[in-house]
Amino acid sequence: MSKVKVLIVEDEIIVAWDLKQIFERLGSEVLPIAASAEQAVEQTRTGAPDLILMDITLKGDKTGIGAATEIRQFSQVPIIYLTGNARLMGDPAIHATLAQGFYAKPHSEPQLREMLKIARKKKSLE
Amino acid sequence: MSRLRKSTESATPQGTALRRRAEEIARKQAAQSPRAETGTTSSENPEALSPEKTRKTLHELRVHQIELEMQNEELRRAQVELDAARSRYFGLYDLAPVGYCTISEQGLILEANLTAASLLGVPRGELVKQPINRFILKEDHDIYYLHRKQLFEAGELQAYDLRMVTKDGTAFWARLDTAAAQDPLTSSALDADGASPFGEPQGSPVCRVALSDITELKEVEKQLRRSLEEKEVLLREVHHRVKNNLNVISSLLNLQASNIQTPEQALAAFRNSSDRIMSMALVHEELYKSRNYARVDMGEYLDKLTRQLLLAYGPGGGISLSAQAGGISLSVDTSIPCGLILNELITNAFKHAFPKGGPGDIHVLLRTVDDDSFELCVSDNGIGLPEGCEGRGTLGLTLVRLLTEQLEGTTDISTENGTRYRIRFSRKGEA
Repeated sequence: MSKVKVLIVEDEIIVAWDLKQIFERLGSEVLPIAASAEQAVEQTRTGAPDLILMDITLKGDKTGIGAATEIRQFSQVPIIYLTGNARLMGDPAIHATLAQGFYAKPHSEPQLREMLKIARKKKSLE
Repeated sequence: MSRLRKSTESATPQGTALRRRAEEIARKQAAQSPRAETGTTSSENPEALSPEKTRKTLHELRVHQIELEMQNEELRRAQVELDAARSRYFGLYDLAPVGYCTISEQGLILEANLTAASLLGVPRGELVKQPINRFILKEDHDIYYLHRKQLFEAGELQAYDLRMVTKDGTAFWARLDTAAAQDPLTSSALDADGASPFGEPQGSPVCRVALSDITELKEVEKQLRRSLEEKEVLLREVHHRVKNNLNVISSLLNLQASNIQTPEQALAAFRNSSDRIMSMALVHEELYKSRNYARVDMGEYLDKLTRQLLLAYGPGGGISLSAQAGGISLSVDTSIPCGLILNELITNAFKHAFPKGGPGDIHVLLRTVDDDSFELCVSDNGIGLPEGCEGRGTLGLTLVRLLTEQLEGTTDISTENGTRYRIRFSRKGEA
C-alpha cells in the first residue's frame, strides 16, 4: 500500500517543519509546505494529498477557511483544521467546508497519529 | 407747604406731565359738575366755608398730601427693587452659562436666554415663535420627538444628546436637559395665537430646556472610543502572538527532542532551547518599550541579545562580540525570525569558530541595502565551516535555513578568513 500523502498548510515555518518531521516519522509522505491559501490550493491540485492539515491564519489576505472552500470545489480530501485561534472555532464558514475535525494548537504526536490512522483507513477503502 | 413745593420742584419731566394731566382732569370734573357752577355745595366753595371748616379741610388736604408722598416714595422704592430684581434676573437667566429656553407643547420656542440665542447663532428676537426643530439636525429629529413625547406623557426629566445646527448651518453636539412645567406666562407670550379666551389659570404645559454645547466632550469621547478599539485590536493581536510564539517554542522543543541520543546532547538541547526562548523573549521586551507595541528597535535588541550571549559563552574565551543595526526597526513578524537567526549564527560562531579559544571577533551587522531589502550579516574570523556543511545538518543551521525561507530571504555563505553569513530579506511590509 502506498504511503498516505499529507499536505501541511502553515505559515509558521518552524511549526510546519516540526509537523513534517512527525508525519515522516509516522510513515507518511509530506508534500512541500504551503504557507499561503494560494499555495494550499495549488499543492492540493498538483499533489493530490490524502489529508490536509490546515492552519487558519495564513500569510496573505486569505485564510485557511478560504483555501478549504476553494479546495472543496474540486476535491473531497479530508481537511483538519489546526489553529491557535480558538475564537475562529465557531465560524459557520468552517462547517461549510465540511472539515473532518478541529484541533487547537499546539499539536501533539498522539493526536497526529490518530488523524493518520483514519486517513490510512479511508485510503485503503478507496 | 415746603413738602409740596419740594416734590413739585424735584418732579421729573414725567412728573410735570403727570401734574398737567391731573390738573386737566380736575378742571374737566369741575366743569362737568353742575353744582360747582351754581356754587350751592358749601364744602366745595372755599368762600362759603367757616374758618373752622377751612382749617379742618386744609388739615385733611395736608394729611392726604403726605399720604400721597409716602405712597409715591413706596412706589419709587418698589421701582428700584424691581430694577434690581430685573437686572438680577437678566444676570441669572440671560447670562447663565447654559442656554435656556421654554418650548410650547407644539414645539415653538416661547422664550430663550441670550446664551441659547448665541449658541444657535441668532438674535434672540428671531428665536421666539420659531419651531425648535429648525435648529435640530434632520437625522436627529426622532431623538427629539421621542424624548418630548416621553416628557409630556410621563413628566419625567429627560436628558439626551443630539446634533443641533446654528443659523449658518454649523452643526454641533448639544446636551438637552428638559423638564415639563405649567407656564402661566404662556398665554401672554403667545399673544392671540395661543391664548385661551377664558384664560387658563394653570397655564399651558411647556417644556423647559437647558442647552449645552458638548461638541468638545463628544470629540474626546470619540477619541477615547477609538483608543479603546485600538487597544482591543492590540490585545487580540498580542494574545495571538503569545499563542503563536508558544506554538513555535513547542515545535522547537519537539525538533530538539528528536535529535537527542546521549545525556550530553540532552543538556546541550536544554541550553540551546533556553537561548532560543531568550532571543524571542527579548523581542517582546523591546516591543513593550516601543510604546506602539508594533515595532522593535533592532539596535536595542542586538545590544541586549549580544550582551546575554556574551555572558553565556564569552567569559574567559577572549572572543569579542560587536553589533550594529543602523537605526533599523522591524515589525514583530520579522523580528522574531531575525532574532532566532541571529541567535543560531552567533551561538554557532561561539561554539565552533574558535575550537582553540580566542582571541577572536564576531561581528553582527544589520543594514539597509536598497529600497527593497535589508541585509543581516554575521561574521567571525575563526576556522570557517567544514566542507559541505553550509546550512545543512545541525538543527541550528536547519532553523536558519527555514527562517530565511519564512522571511523570503536569500543566504550567501563565505568561508574565506572565517565564516560570513549574509542573509538578504525583503523590506516589504517594513517601514
